[in-house]
Amino acid sequence: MIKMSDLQPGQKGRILYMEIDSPLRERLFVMGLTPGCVVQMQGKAPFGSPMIFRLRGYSLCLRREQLEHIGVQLL
Amino acid sequence: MTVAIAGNPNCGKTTVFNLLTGDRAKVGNLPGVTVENRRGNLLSEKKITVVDIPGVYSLVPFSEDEKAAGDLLLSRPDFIVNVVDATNLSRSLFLTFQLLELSVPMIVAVNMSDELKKLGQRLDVSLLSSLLGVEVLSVCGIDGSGISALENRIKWYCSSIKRDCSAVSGEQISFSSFESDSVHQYRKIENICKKVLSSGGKKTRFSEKIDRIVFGKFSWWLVFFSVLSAVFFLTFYFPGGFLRDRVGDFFDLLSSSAAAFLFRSGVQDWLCGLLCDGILKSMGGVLSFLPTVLILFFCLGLLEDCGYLARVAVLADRPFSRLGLSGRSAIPLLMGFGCSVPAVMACRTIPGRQGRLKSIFLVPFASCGAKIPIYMVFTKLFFKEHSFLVLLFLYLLGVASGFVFLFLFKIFGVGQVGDFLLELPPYRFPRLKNTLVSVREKCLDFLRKVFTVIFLSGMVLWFSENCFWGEKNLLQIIGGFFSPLFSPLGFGNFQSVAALLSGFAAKEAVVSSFCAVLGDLQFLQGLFTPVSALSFMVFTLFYPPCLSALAAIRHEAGGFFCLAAFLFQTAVAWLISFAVFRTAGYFF
Repeated sequence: MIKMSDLQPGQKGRILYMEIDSPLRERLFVMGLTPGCVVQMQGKAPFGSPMIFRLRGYSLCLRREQLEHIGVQLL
Repeated sequence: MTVAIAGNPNCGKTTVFNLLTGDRAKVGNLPGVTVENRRGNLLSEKKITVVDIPGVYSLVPFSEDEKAAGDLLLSRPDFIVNVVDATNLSRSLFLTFQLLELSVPMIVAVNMSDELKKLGQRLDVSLLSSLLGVEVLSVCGIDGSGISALENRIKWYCSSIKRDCSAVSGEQISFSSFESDSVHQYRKIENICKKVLSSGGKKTRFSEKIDRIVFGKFSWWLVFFSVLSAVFFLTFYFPGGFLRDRVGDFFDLLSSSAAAFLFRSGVQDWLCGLLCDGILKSMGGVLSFLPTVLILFFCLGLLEDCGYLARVAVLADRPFSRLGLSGRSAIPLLMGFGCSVPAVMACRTIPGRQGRLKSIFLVPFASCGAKIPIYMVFTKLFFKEHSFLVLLFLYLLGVASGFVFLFLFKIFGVGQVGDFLLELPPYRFPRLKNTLVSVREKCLDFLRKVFTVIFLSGMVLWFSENCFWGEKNLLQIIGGFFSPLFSPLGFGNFQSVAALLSGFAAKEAVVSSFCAVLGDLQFLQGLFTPVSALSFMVFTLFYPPCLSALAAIRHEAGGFFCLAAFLFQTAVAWLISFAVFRTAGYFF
């Protein structure tokens, strides 16, 4: 298991846990980033953050610091 | 009868709204273009009101614009058209299920099926309809197909349903077991999507390829700076600057021939003076900048439409978050280079009160399009071949001081960084029609200003110039009263004071006032030295935005904030132009 921020471009992972507080936590759930969901790292902005992920058919950008609290299982 | 158009951000609600009502609301390819409810009437049935609401991901609001949308939906409109992005089905359906819980009659309009086809996938509309238990229609915002069918269904529903006035309050819908519900909901949605979507060949998306360059380690700045310089070049040099000169010549010719005509036809001297010197000159002086301003808006519109503006927010997040601002603020700040009013309103999409207020505060530091005439007139007269450099200096000075204040906020501990969460839209080829809509709007707005504010200020200035009180005219008295304030900045003359004062009404009026007071802009050379001209431009760059922008700030942030920002900016403008005047005076 690794942190979501450690995914490399092209790698896929399944969300295991999310140690994030509301309201961001709720927002992520609404946008479909839920435990069990599969995400694919698509790339990152020039300074290493934010990172871009593909999930449920769309691209979502999240700040690196936020992703350090999400655990994923590398697929 | 009220019909609400609801859906996720950037799924094409406003495009559908425009097609249904014949309205020309602004559309763009980034989440958060629509920030307030907009009403219109159905084209074929005027009794039915259609409301376009800001995009939401759920009924639980996250920012100000979403709150407006959530409130409207929870107050239960008579009918809901849920616009769904076909390429983004599973996330869109999450909102659909929440809307279904409101038990308001509803129809689902699947948009962007054409893009789905390009990805090699197909959507079974009738199966989706039976699985959801509501009617599903396929529409296309680009060619308008399916819209008339949607319109007929709306009319049919509105005539058949009886009005049920019981509004649901927010508490009645239980979001208590929110998380497990969401997970459960998405599992349900996944199953539906598997059934209705035929998966096709998975080719690498076009957008991903472009993003590799746009976000590339070294290529990002190449893209970023070429885009910015292209906008700058097109606006100020060619065709912007070129057109301005031609149109300016035309208006000069027009006003001088009008003066000659009036003189010959024996119109009284004072009327001739009022018409030619007061009104015609000031209106012509500003109208000649119309092409330039429109080109700037066209460029900014293209950036929004193709999807690059959303990328700028991503690029900006790292540096911005170090200074205590979310990257999302980059969108309103860039819009501020066009016009402060929509930019201030766009700050609603920024989650968190402090981040929003800070962004509103910073918007005026992006020099707005209405100041272009001032810069172009002064740089051309005083800096000739170096005018391009001076222009660049002014824009950079505005941006740099914005960053300095952001840094100061951080030092004094104002505000934490808001969360950053942004859906990245795919790149789309900009549609000329969309961009022209915003250009047209700007054009009308500009003309409206010319025929109201500029017209009036030209008249008022002419009268105060010709209304004598003892030895001095009214303009000299009022201007002379304030002018000592500006003497340390190098432009303590009553003409500049009059111009700056009328600039409060609209920034375009600064140049028109000089036209009216001096007769010809050439005479500016008698009033200013290059150094004081620079200091004057710096002052106009920073001094408080026009009345409509101040009204927008007051509306978004409150009267106290507006007053504080006003005073602060006046002080900042004075101090910075003083510094520039002294420093430049030392060297030249």
